[in-house]
Amino acid sequence: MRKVVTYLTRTFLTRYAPSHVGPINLIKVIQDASVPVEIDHRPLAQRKGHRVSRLPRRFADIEPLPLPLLPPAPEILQSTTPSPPGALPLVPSSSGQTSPNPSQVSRIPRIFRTPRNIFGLSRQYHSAELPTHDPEEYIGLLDLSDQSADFGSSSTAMNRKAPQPKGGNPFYPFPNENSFRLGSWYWDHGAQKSRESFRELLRIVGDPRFCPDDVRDTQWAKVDDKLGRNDFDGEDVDEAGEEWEDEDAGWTKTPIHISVPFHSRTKKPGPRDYLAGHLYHRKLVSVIREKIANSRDNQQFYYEPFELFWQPTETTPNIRVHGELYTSPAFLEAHRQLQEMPGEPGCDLPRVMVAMMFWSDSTHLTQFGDTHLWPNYLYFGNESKYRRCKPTCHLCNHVAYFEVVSGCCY
Amino acid sequence: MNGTRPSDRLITHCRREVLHAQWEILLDDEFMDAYEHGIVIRCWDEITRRFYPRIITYSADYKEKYVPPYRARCCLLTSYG
Repeated sequence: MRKVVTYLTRTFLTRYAPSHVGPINLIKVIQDASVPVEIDHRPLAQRKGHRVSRLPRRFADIEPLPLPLLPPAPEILQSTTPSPPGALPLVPSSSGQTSPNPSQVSRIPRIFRTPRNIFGLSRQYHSAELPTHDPEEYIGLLDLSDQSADFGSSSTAMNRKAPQPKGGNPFYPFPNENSFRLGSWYWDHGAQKSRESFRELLRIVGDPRFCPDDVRDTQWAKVDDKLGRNDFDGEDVDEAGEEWEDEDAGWTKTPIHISVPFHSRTKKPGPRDYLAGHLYHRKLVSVIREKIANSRDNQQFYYEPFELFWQPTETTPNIRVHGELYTSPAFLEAHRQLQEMPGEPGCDLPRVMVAMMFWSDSTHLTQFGDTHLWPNYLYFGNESKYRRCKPTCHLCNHVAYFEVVSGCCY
Repeated sequence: MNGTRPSDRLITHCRREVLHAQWEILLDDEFMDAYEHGIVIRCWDEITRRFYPRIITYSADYKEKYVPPYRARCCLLTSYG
């Protein structure tokens, strides 16, 4: 059939085709003539096919992507392998040309370059060998976007487990749901009872699931005590403080001694030691140890810095992109110095810099009073700033609460 | 202090000393040893690495009034005028 149609088309086109009729229309005419057509009795509006609605190009958006990944090690080390366009799999540095000794090869820094991604971004590492850990592998769409849509992401935030309530009771410290609903009504609806609040109470006790036996034996004072207790209050830790005791571990209290000078007209002139208060703090080394050993945060912990480049097209020059601490010249320089310095005797372990970023600011605790704290926080520059500013990532570490000198003390 | 108010310079001195003393507590011998020789930690990916802490940034407020340079210059101009 197709052969016949083609033949007819060709002859028709060569002999009878008028100049204003296109060949496509002619083919359609011939096809329609050769195939029996079913008559559609539907109204014209319903006959219309579904139009594919498409956003105009100016509204089209590209999904956020992590930075390009490093190729696997075997590929990158084969210098004869043809490289994909835009990728420089292995470019040895000028100092790395003459090095037959394998023990020296591992110490000579080379340049590893990733291919460009859709945004034209590429990474460049200066290191002796490929990085053993690439945090970009663990970045999902949820980490890059603020939307809470259920993308198929391997985000660490999704994998994080919520703290399990004690004994599997979701209403802890309330013993059951009815006690929880009554307690919630008492605390959450304000001190003054309103009609709305009364209706809410009627809704609770009028519920067919409400059972008076549930609330009869509830020890309300004990429940309220547990709700209001902090873990550092110390008593009854085995019952109340199990959720947070790990996070508060390691706090110590150290006295602060300063030397205060007394001028010559006082009875005892000269410097004198004073106890200026106590510093509540954590040991910095223990904070670092806890951070590194924490598998939840460590997947996206950058052990090695790299340079980030932007090259929109093949012909444009590479432009350095600044934004994260682990792509900054300061981090790269400190990392280079760390690799070049003489290491510990007999130690071949990879050396990693932990970039500590301290931050402290006086914080008012009350709305009308003058009570305030001066906390000292610690962030790690090895983590992305986009994750550090997300409170749900829990990347801020409390390190100390500074004592302040007030004028009235003297 | 015999009931007299301490001078501003003494308060400034004490504030500085207290903050320095607290940082001295934080940057203790254990931390300084880690700074110089590193600390060996086994990471989550079963690779043992030697970590060297480095302080990169410190953003903080301080309990002293800050006199901006332009204000000092204004005072200077006023005194000259």
